[in-house]
Amino acid sequence: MDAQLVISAAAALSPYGLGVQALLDGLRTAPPAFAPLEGAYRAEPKLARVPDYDARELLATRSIGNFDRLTLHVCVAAAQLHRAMGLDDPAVRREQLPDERVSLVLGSSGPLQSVLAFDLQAIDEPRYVQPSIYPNVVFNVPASYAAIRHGIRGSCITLTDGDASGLIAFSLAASQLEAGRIDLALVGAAEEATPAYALYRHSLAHAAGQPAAPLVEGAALLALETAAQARRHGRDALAGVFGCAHVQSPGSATQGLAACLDKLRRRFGAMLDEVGTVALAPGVDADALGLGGCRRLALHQRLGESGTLYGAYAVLDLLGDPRVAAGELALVLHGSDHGPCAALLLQKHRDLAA
Amino acid sequence: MKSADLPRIVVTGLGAITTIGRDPAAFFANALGGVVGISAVRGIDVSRMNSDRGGEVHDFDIAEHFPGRADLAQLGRAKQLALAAARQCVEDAGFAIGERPFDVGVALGYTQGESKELEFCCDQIAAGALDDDGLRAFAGYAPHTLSQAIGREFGACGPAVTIGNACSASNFAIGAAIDLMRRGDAVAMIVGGADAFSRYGYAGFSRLGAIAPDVPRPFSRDRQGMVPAEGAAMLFLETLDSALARGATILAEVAGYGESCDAHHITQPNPAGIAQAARAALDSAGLAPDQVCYLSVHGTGTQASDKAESAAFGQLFGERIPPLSSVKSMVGHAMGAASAIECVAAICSIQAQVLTPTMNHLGPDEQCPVDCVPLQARPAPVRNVLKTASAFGGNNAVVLFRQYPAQED
Repeated sequence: MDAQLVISAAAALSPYGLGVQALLDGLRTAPPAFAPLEGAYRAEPKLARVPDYDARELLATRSIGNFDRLTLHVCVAAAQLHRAMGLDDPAVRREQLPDERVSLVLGSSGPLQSVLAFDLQAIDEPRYVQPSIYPNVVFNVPASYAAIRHGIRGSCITLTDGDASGLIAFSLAASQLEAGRIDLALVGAAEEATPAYALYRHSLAHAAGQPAAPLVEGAALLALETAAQARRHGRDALAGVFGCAHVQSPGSATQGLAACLDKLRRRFGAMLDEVGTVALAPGVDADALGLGGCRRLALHQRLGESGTLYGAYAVLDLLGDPRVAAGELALVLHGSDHGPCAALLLQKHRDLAA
Repeated sequence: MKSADLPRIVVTGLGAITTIGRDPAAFFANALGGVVGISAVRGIDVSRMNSDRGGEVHDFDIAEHFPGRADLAQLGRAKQLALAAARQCVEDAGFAIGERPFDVGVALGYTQGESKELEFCCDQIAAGALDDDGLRAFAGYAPHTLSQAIGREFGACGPAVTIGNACSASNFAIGAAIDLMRRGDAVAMIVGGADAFSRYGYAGFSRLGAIAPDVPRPFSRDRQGMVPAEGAAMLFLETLDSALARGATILAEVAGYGESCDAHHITQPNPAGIAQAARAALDSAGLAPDQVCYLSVHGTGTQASDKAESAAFGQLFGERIPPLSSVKSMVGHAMGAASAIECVAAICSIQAQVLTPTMNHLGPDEQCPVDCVPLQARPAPVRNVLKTASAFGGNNAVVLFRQYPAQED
């Protein structure tokens, strides 16, 4: 059984730099450089930032004065992805894909710094809050700016379902394709290294009674389209995507992920027994899920916490890992005891680094 | 899967907490009566802002909805509003969620998340006194805690989707829920939106000059803006097969869905994008525009938005635009809850065969050549209803509700 949907291109920003190759090379060498964040409200977590980049140069525009850090990351990733697909010329893309047939589905913790800063303005001088940056408080605005820049008119959605969002984004994007509403989805996630995001992660850790783990920022977008369309346009698929199942855990990540695997099994049957590699988020127990015989990839052990970026980064990690053979089935899992759990089933077609 | 093979989706439960009614029956009765719930803002300090009108749900008490549950009083206001609406919706549906918890999910739209928790944290930061309570509040601000709270309360452990698409978010949530059910990932979904009155949200709209000095007057001449509001509304969606098998009362069918992104301007709406989403909703249901008899519209009351919507309907329907209503003329703009509240009104209109009025109308505006059912409810055959919604970023989502069983005129 071949997957009807494929990942045909990828783009990433990470603490290792711009580009997918920088991320893959970095993951194979050393952990990113974590450091205290300037302006942070608490000493932890330490963050690894995306190296400074010239956004005007990369986005070929001066009109970025109102963009916050999250918006810049999303827009740069979208520009990179279009370039990787040879579709950075809008006319070329329209020839292949009408604007109305392209969507963007993003997982993120949201533009937290913009929200927090705007509310502090509202406390201080409510009559004189800055109107030009007001739209930035809307969680879907970073993705919407990218949609405006690239004429993405099919749909633009930002999901905020905790760290599983980057995987759940695949579920929604696949639905859009399966329903025939679009032909290409840019799917992925983004996070910002800002005092507000650091405070959010600190708050989550505090609520769980744990220290806040070192954290990375960045963005990743993958091109998800039908296998037939990718072939038609000469795009050599990186992976086939069968499906993503997700649930809310009733009390343990294992229970939630077992339910996800049950849902995948209902759709894809014994294919689940052929999975060779499983990418595991923190706290996910492969043995308890009956996946003890699989090769395990633990991205967080090399990269640190990646928030909603986990899903897209983990997919890139396994596509870039030469030990995962072409044709091998893989699962990317994210679980939490009292929140969203998600499982993405895919099949590697070729090495990303090749 | 061919569209003819896809599971049909129906609505079997409703919940609504609005400024003109704290349950669907009271809300709809007041909407038919043209009750306007706009008043002076009490929940936040607006003394240093340029506006003071709001659509707050006064005297809301979670204890009325969950007797004996003192623990819920600790939750943020958006969660309380969401839970109260969800409880009505779940009880209305009568679905035994506990028998198949992983088959019942939650899809929720929002604009601001748990804004009161954010504001609590920011108050502490501004005072230089961020402590453990502030940290707890900031953790609770995360929007997915709303859908998580609903899932936990009602034992709905199926797929959860929390969408930050602002003022059209709950229509997007309906779209996501339809997709999940049609794929077989869920048999039923609790779907809707919730937002509490927000300081930063209000300050922003006030600074933009978008807030009306008195009341919203959608599609009217001399309209002067929208009025921010709060609330929550939920729909219980399930597959038709499930509803029929358990003998549930079916309130309406969700017959179509369409979405679009203007990709035009971050705040200015574009008629082409709105028309595109509406056309997609019709296409997905296999309906032609002339089969739509009523529009429940975004209808904020701002110059730009009402004009753009009117132009979009002109593009789609030509000169025969069906009658349309703006519920926001009565409840204000409840942000992420807005389109869910308007869905409840639309479904009640199908049930009662009467159109809700657009209130505060001073007379027609040549930029908005539409019949907005001004000032008075109107009996009419209500078969296929388009519920449109738009948001910052140019994000449009349109749901098509159909009477069930469909009657011929």
